[in-house]
Amino acid sequence: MESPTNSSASNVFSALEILNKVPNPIGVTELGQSIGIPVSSAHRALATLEQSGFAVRYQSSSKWIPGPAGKQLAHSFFSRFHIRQLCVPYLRQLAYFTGETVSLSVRVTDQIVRIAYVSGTKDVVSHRPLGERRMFPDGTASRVLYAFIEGMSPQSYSKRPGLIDQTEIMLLEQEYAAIHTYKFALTPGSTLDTSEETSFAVLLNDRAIAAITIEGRLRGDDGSDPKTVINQTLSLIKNIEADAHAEGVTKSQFNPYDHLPASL
Amino acid sequence: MTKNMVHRALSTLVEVGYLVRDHTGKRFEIGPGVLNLLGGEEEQIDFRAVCHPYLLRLHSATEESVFLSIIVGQHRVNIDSVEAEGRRVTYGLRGRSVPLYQTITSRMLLAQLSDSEIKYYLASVASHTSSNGLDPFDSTQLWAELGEFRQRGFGIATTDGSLKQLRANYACFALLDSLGRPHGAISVGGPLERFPTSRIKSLMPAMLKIVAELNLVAKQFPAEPVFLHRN
Repeated sequence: MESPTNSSASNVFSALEILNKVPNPIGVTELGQSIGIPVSSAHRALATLEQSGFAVRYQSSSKWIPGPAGKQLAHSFFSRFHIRQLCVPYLRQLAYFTGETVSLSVRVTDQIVRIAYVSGTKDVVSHRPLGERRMFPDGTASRVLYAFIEGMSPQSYSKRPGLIDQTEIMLLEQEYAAIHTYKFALTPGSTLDTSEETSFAVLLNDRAIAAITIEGRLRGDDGSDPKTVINQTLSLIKNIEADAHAEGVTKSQFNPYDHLPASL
Repeated sequence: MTKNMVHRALSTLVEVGYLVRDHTGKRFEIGPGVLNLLGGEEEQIDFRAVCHPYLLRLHSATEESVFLSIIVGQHRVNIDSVEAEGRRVTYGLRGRSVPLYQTITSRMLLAQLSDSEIKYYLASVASHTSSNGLDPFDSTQLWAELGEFRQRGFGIATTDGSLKQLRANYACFALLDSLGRPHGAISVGGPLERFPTSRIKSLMPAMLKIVAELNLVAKQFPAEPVFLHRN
């Protein structure tokens, strides 16, 4: 049986979603049309959102933009991950060592979410935002995390039509074997010297609880070669895993969404 | 709210993804749907504009001069200030560049960097100054001070004064992002006779409250990277 929901509340959430989706300030009529509700309902939805800080008027005009409360709520989502606190000092060390931006990603259902990053000193262009979500097989973090999910063999991906063909499955099987051996994934088709990003698995009881990604070439800021960077990173990750074991924190505390299935 | 209303509200929140059931299945957690509220691109933040209202509030609470500083290369630079009336501290001219080991504000910023960054910086300063025959700081004392700043998140210091400067007291606070990286530091300074340590202590709860509110905002966007090897 489906749970009953509140239709006025649904209007409010739909208004909130539209407000956060559109690139420009939006008027109440346009908002009502986007959701398919009368202007009066759109007015009420916006008044509710304004009252709770989720919507504000754009420069005192009749148009609206998202308020600060939404961002605050989204940021409280990141703080739910204990692994974030544990990894931050190591992300800093890696960003300092490589000069590249280093990020931390976790799996939430079938999405890979970037929950923390430390900007590298070489990163002078804008980087990807916090909270960015990618779907498998996009990005090395998703490949590392999926390689360690039980019951998610490359063959199981073929159940989703159009996602992946048999040749890709074979390549993925080879990649999974390599990830299980080396605990990291390079940009597909690249080598240690040419990989544009490299993700490393952080394991707890043989299950990846997070991925750490060096978002650039594997070169130390001091001129170290890729192998040295890999060894240095693997050594830092061992420290993280040791810290995790020492703290005796459960998987659900490191990632409270780990129990949600990775549906494809 | 009645139990039915709560049930309906929870169902609605689950449906839109703002709540999920936790691993026990009995309780609710904030859900990944809230990530939609971040919008698409990360905003470019004008840090000075974000901080300015809080500088005004600190000035209003203390009636002293308030300065906002950031790290630029191996230096601290003041990017904003609110000046006190009458006799006031003058060291915080906007755009003035001060080494990161000098003054309480610089050291507060230095304290927020990682140990490896601080070691790199201190080695770099030491190699530069030893060639000039200078001994800029006592390393043991400096590390102890940085440790205190990290632990407390604020510092208090008195300057000796000189022909150009008053003897003055400063209270300094770190502004950090959600990963503990420094956005900048705020210092509140005044002449010793008007801003003695006892007055700083009595004003500290009010100052900490304002800085904590600013830090809540500062946590919502990442700090700019620090380029210690560039001057």
